[in-house]
Amino acid sequence: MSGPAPLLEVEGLTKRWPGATAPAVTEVSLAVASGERVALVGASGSGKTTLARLILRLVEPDRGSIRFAGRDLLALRGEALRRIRAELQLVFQDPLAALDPRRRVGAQVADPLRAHRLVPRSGRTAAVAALFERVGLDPALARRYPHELSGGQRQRVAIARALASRPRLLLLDEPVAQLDVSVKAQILDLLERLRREDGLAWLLITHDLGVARAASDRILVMAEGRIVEEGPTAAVLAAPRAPATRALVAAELRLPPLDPRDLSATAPSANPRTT
Amino acid sequence: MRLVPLLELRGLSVSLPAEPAPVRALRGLDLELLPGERLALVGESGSGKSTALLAIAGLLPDEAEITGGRRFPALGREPTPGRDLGLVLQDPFASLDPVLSVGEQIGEVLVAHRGARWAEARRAAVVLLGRVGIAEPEARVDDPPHRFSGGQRQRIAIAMAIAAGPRLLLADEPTSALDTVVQAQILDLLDGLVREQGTALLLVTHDLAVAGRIADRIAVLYAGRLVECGPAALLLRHPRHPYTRALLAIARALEAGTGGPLAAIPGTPPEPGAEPPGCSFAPRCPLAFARCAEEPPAWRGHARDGVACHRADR
Repeated sequence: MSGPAPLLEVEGLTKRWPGATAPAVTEVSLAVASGERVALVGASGSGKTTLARLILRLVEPDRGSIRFAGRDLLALRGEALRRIRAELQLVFQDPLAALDPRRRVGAQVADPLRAHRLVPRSGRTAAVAALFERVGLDPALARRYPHELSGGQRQRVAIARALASRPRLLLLDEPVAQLDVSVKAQILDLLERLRREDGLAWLLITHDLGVARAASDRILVMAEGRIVEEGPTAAVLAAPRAPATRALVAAELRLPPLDPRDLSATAPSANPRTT
Repeated sequence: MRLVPLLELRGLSVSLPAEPAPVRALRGLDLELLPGERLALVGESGSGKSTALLAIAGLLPDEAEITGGRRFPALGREPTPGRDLGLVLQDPFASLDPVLSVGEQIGEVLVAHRGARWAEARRAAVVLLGRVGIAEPEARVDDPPHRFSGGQRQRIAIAMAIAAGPRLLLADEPTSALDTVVQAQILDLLDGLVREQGTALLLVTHDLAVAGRIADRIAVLYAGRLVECGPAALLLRHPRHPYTRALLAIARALEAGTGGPLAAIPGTPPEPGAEPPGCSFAPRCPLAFARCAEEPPAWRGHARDGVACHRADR
């Protein structure tokens, strides 16, 4: 593909866990361009979580390369790695596990500002308040502890903290899987607004095809550690080719269509009765 | 002829002790379930759906303050959990003992509730494991739960729940910890088993598509109250309550992937103890008018099909 160099470029990534019969991730290559929304879907055990952990360098691959913003991520150490990590942030499924239960959430959102020396000490309270407002939280909530917030509020805190270091790529690992339907929609709308404002890109890991449809333009399907299908999200999900993609699409529960008389209605009305 | 209901809730209210004030988890729930009927109780966190399930199972903590009625007319007596009621939870680890083999755990249900001897209970456990889709059940019956995948453990929990042939199966988010492919398999399994055995099913879920897959009837809860219930096919195609409409609009937008905002419902449900005096959904409702904030809407319709909304005037 021509055009500018991708923001994230993974090539031939392979990881086998000691003692495992098959590699968790085999020869995976993928690219995410600046500002692009890419979904990575697959069933449990398909290797998508291991792939995410490899990209974050939480585990080291056996083979392959990861380039981020033109730098060889696997060769970076120490300060250089820390600096580039500011631009690659993670938001994951359970914000309660991501947040320290003993510290006020405002202080935790301030952590990256301090660690990456982005904002002087005197400006931190105002910067945290601004981040809270960007993610739709009342800045007064900064003084609360994680358990004093709802699940949706905690996920907003986690997003605020991820945004604090001005990332270019978000790795979203099942970011709405534990949220209620109405909150899920709010968080997906929020992520999209922030992406447009900041020109963010993301790699969204999910097993929920609805979430992939809403929040990606391109989709990668993983099965048994390999990427088995790739393409524009709408096209791949409308006409899946790989057996793993077909299985995911077939398993998706679909609602019956809305009664056509209701499509334009704005006020609820009683059910028509036949008896 | 009118069937005698298996389960009848009349004005069920439950308060759970909490600081600074008790949480009124359910505020006057009326519900009816016929023998063999499959009802989905749908709601978000704090709607009271899991409290309702625990109340029906008789498993609320002793400190819970319960008013209103819960009867089992078709049974004619208080049900015995395990024998008359089967229970399947979201996390199968919560219902499985990590140190006992799965065969011992399924067998125990039969020994305790059906007076089986251990040898026959073990043979029955093998048959049950086969019925819930565990391959080579003879070879797996002595394995402990951790030797099975998440989906398989949920199958085993289901085998335990149905072992004694209960009249009512209670399932609390049985598939929400599973990926979509396994979810579809488990729903197929539950569907087949309750049909074969004529077991009534009360399924608690936050997912209207899951409800639509398995239920004959759907009841939607919001902030401890029933806002709408009716036949599943009708409710999903022709929702009457603005809350049900909004939930379905989000679910359909995710299915269609048409892009653009998902038209999320603004705000959050009321904090426990801070429920507004009128309709609990009024502060988030696009159709609310003055009366909605002042007066809780009365139930329109009957016990099996109706809606609680001031806007639902005919």
